[in-house]
Amino acid sequence: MGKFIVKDAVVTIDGVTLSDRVAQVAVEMNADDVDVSTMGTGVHEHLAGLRNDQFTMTFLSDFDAAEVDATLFPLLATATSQPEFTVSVKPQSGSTSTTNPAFTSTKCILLTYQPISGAVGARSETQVTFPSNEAITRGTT
Amino acid sequence: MPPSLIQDIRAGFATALEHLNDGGKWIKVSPYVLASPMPPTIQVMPGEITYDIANARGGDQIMFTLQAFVVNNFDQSAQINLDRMLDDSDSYSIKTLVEADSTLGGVIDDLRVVRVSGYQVYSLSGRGPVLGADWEVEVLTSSV
Repeated sequence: MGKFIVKDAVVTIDGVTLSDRVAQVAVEMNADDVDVSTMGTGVHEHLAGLRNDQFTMTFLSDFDAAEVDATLFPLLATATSQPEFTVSVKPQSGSTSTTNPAFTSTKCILLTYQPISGAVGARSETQVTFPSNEAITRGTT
Repeated sequence: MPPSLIQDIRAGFATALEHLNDGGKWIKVSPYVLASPMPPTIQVMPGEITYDIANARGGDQIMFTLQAFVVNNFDQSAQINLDRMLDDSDSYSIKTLVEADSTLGGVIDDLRVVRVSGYQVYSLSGRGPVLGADWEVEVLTSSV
């Protein structure tokens, strides 16, 4: 796969494919930046700290069965329950491969959920962040 | 050839506005642009299409214009009817009639009458100045 336009990404949340309700998606893989600078070097020295990976998405709101709200609401963490679930994102449809890798976490959580958000007359959209309790993996098979 | 989505939407608008025809007594509604529109008439014009408002061909945004030509002699009673079409509390309200079924019978996901131009004077070939207005409608479609 060469250069491409994002229009056919595959987004799966807890086993439900919601690709056609996703307006924006990002896979964010970060490590904390730990400063280990010492005297005499004249530069900052960095070490990778704890990983802090997450997926961020903007959904077009949909309250139909097996769509956005029906999928996300049961996953929302509460005082008594913090479900961990799988989130997977691929650049485009088709088989997972070295040129179409799947970025996956099996330990995502949902801490904040805005089922309705929008100004009068705007499309109803829902911005969601899925923090991952493990490093996101890059699968090629 | 099966009807396209845009054809279905045009037909949906025509159905939604049938009330204005009042059993053939008043305004005619054409789903298509007319070569020589004779007031009072409404024609439906597709406008800008924004493809891919959601990933994986999840949906498009299509703008439509509902163009009403009400009268070509500026008759006061016709102006009163145009006022009624502009007024969203009136039974002739274009906004109310179109938004009464925001899926147009299940053809689309949602719609909204966004704005109306207010009084416009159109120059139609062979008819002189014609009074009317344009309503802009935002339509959201879904491929599934």
